[in-house]
Amino acid sequence: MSQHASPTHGNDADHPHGKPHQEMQEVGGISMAYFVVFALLLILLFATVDIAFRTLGPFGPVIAMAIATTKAVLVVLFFMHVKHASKLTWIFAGAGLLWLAILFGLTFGDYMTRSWNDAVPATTHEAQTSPFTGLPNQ
Amino acid sequence: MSSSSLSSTSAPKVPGDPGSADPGQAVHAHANPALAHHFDDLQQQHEAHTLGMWAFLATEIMFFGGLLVAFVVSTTMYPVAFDIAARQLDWQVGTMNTTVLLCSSLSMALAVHFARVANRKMTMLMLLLTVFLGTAFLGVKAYEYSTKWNHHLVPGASYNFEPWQHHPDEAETRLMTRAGVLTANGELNASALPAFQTRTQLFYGYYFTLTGLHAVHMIIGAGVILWLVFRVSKGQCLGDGSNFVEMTGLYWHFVDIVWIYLFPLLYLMDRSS
Repeated sequence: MSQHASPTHGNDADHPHGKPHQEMQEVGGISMAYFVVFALLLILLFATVDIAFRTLGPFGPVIAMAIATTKAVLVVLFFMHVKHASKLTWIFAGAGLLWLAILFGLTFGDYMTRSWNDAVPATTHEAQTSPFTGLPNQ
Repeated sequence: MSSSSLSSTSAPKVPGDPGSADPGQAVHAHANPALAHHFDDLQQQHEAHTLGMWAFLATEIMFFGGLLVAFVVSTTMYPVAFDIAARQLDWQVGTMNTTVLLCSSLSMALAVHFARVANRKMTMLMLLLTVFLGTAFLGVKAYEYSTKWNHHLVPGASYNFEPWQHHPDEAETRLMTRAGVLTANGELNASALPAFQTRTQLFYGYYFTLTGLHAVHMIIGAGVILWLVFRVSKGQCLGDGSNFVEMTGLYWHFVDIVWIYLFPLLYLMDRSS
């Protein structure tokens, strides 16, 4: 199971690949995936800056969050090695995401629909332009 | 550095390990100094370390998630006030800092790679590079905080946000008119000022809380990495024992992901004019 140290070398540096689990494909000793992912992260960063200055209306934040999520997925899969991890690790990593989705889903399911019955009229111009018009103003 | 001096310092890698193995000899799996006695083999140990770290990161996701959901709700409630407050943040400095943080994630990933293949020098180099980039990020953050402090944008008694006094551009003027602070003919509307101050202050409350907690996470991460540099310099946490470097990497990348969301949410809300 474990790597056996060479009898002639006590130095740690002399027995490579101490990890028994699978590695990514490597080019020149280092996985090229790291550099590809890094380049993609930089491209996506400049894309998110670029779209912030474009008039996209309500789609601006949606696209910005989609780009952020793409970046996060790249980091999780490659920098954090989840792509090559066990199924159980996927479940653990996904559990945090699931509960976050519940948090956002239920919260916005509430707030975004409060104005539907117009029980509380909006009192200021800002409140009128907000989707949360059913909320108290102050 | 001779191999004999290294092996003499790298003997017990795990506290509590019997330490009976001589690293100079071929070792059986159960006598491997990198393997804690309560695990069957290195693979099981690695799986346990990974799962434990992800369980911790799940709690961190919820920790930041609660703040983020509150911020997004407030943003949607007061879009105009939050928009004009967010425009005071320097998006160019923010973009540069995000680039620095992404670079630190790459160097951390490379540090984990070199620790796995037991390359002591490159592991140390990459860990120190990560700390350097993280410190640069925090330095820029401190500069941004001091700017906000000087502009009275820190929530509290001295908070005073008066963008109409600083030659607002066309977009800012339009936003202030929408917020009711300026009337249609450009006059200041005093009755709308208290609500405007409260709402923009709320934005800066979120800004300092979110970025401050992120910075605290980075300081903790940099401290752990410096401790790793010390361990690695003594030939520890390499090869079979590289799990410690890898788990620190998971934490560092997570903190990077938090910033990946904070940057567009805070700095780039809607810059179109």
